[in-house]
Amino acid sequence: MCSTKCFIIPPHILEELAKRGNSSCKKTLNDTARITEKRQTALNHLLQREHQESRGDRYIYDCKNTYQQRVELIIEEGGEFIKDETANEAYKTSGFVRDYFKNAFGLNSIDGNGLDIISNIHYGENYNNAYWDGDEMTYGDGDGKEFTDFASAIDVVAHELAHGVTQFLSNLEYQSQPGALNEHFSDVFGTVIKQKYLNQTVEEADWLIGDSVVTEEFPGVAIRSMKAPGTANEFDSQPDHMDNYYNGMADNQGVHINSGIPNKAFYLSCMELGLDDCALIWFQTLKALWRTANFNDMLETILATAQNLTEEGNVSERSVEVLSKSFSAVGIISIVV
Amino acid sequence: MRYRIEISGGFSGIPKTYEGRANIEKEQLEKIIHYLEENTNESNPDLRDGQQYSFQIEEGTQSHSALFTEKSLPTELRQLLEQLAHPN
Ligand SMILES: [Zn+2]
Repeated sequence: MCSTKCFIIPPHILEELAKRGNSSCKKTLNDTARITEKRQTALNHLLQREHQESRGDRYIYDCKNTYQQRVELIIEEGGEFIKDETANEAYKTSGFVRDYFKNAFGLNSIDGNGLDIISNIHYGENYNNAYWDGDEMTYGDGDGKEFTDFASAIDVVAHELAHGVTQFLSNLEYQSQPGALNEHFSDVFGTVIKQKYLNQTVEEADWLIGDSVVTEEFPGVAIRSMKAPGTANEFDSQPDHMDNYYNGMADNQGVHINSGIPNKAFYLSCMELGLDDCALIWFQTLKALWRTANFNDMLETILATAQNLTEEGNVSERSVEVLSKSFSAVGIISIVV
Repeated sequence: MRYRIEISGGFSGIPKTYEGRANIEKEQLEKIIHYLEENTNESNPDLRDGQQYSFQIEEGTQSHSALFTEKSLPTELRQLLEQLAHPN
């Protein structure tokens, strides 16, 4: 835990100390941003549960097409499958995501401390979205015209659950470059876990995000493409290089837009290093990042992380070279001071 | 009443706009205007992939507008959006 004195240090100094690897100041910086009444309540619950050996139990709630969460509990951990296939799929996919993080990185559920995994399905009417709200996930059924069944899509479930993981590991703020990195990490674990779920190699994978939630009438094949950002559909404006970086104010300064740039770097890295090495490097980098980290901080941190993992014999010896090349290919280049 | 409703953000990040004219009962219109004027702008800093909803309503010489988050959008305005986006 951070000592009390961290709380009187101004945020910009905390940020600099966090950059230099001071984990207690990084934690203070991250926590300070989310100390709200709601989070305090949630944290109190977490503290109370510390002694109960939480295991990341799954709870699936039916919103019954209202705009309320947790209307009716329909499946809980260890329970029977029911007639509602969306509920069964939400249960299976959220379990697969939880188990992936546990088996690959030893992370005990979303927060590393066995936080229950709560999914709300059938939210609203024709609701074309899925979101993470700081505590739980909520999925719409889609309008059936362009979008469908968000809760059954493994990459969507992994993407949303990964937002929770990011919240507890680095709490990247949700705007501009830190926000684009937040989105990037969700797409990274969305695609990694989708490939594991489908038992695909990096060559076989389509590298699409949200291909199963778009209908045949939707003007495109998916919501995003990590292999070819900007090509997934008619509206896809993701750049794949810093030359085309989006500088506008929309979408919290382009969090779902500029994520295309690091997404492409991830794809390029995976094609040379393989999925497992890259997943480990990205996960350890996420743990080392902090709330206000930008694309250059990401590059510096990922290179240092890869160097450490290489020295420990956990990833390919080519990692640092491949990562430098991949990030350089999308226009993210080390600033030599 | 003339309306323009823009949805942005969300998991897809694809913006959507609905605009046109609708015949709304006076009582419902008054409620809509009330919700637009009473917008609390309540937001959740931990929300990821939430949508933003921009409402613009014109009736006669009066115009009203407000921006809502996933958290602050009242159910009544969600229902209005549903009614305008998917008329049956
Ligand atoms: Zn997201």
